[in-house]
Amino acid sequence: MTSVSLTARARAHQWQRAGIVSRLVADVIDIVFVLVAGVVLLALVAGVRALFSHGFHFLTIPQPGRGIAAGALLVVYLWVGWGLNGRTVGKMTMGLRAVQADGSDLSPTRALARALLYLLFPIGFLWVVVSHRNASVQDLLLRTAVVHDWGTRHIEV
Amino acid sequence: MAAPGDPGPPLSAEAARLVTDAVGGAVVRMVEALGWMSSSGAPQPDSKAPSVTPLRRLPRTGLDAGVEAGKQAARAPATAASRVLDVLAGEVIPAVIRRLDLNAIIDRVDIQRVIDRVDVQEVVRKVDLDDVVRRVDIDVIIDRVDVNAVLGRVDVNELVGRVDVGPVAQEALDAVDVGAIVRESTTSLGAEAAEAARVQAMRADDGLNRIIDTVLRRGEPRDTALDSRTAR
Repeated sequence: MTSVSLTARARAHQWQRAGIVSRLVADVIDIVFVLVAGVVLLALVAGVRALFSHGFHFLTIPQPGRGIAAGALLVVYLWVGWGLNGRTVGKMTMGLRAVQADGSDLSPTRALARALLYLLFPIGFLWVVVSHRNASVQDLLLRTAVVHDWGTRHIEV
Repeated sequence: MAAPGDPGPPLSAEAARLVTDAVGGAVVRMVEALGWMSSSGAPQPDSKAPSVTPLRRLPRTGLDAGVEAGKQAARAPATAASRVLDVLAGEVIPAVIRRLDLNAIIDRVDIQRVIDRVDVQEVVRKVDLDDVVRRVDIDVIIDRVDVNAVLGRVDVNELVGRVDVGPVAQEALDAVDVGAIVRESTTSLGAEAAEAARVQAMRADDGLNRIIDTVLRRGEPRDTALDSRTAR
């Protein structure tokens, strides 16, 4: 593989709807990032508590509070990422961007709704595999899309 | 003059000769003076005519012989002094030098005072250093220097121990923006890795889509472009 073919393929895919593999890799990166962030947050809280107690005890949250907290953290993370510029850490890494179907930026409301839908009905993501336009169920419901965007919006395809 | 190996006549005999020669010369000078006085007392009308004085009446050859002897005696002191000097240089001075303890004399010399009297700056001013340097063949000097021997004498550890590494390292770090280099290299590596992963995912997307579309018996490729149409 040469750098010329790399560039040609990348240019051809700019602002095209991304397939299941690219989106799945980005989502896995996001989930790992959120898990790490959750552990760091718990450690921080335990550290602050240790300042006012006699020892360091890692914070443990019993179910169902743990699941609710994890879900809330994921929703907030996705909402902030998509609402600000359509990118989470995973999408940034994979050169993807969540946009509206016409290519405009997601509104904060639509970004929050998309995050909640992914949390409540994650299996809807798999519709990308069979969709003629690489759309998930959430994309179909909210008229959104995920496109390749390596930061070259004005690139000529 | 006496030869270096010839001891020559004894010093006392030379001194006696010197005295007799001097006395003889003085007598002859007195005789000449008397003759001049007697001849100038009565001027003659004919100066060419030989004057007749009592002394001139002496046998002429005897008088001439006496005058000549006096003249030789007058030259005698210079000859005798020369001989004395020969004796001094040939025997006396070497003997004196043999008996002298030169080391003791040198020990008594205050070299520092001598040096203090020398105006070194004046000496240096007079030296044409450019000319001296021009005459020096540097290559020859360098060829003679055994650099390995010089380096073998150097205690490198001692040398390094004297160096205050802290300020040197700080200066080097100030000159080199290490942070920028690390950022640049890390960013470059990260960008290359991410780019490779993105392209691999694109390839996987395309391959998987083809397989699925084939299974679903779709006759046309996927429409992945963004437009205003409602997504299906």
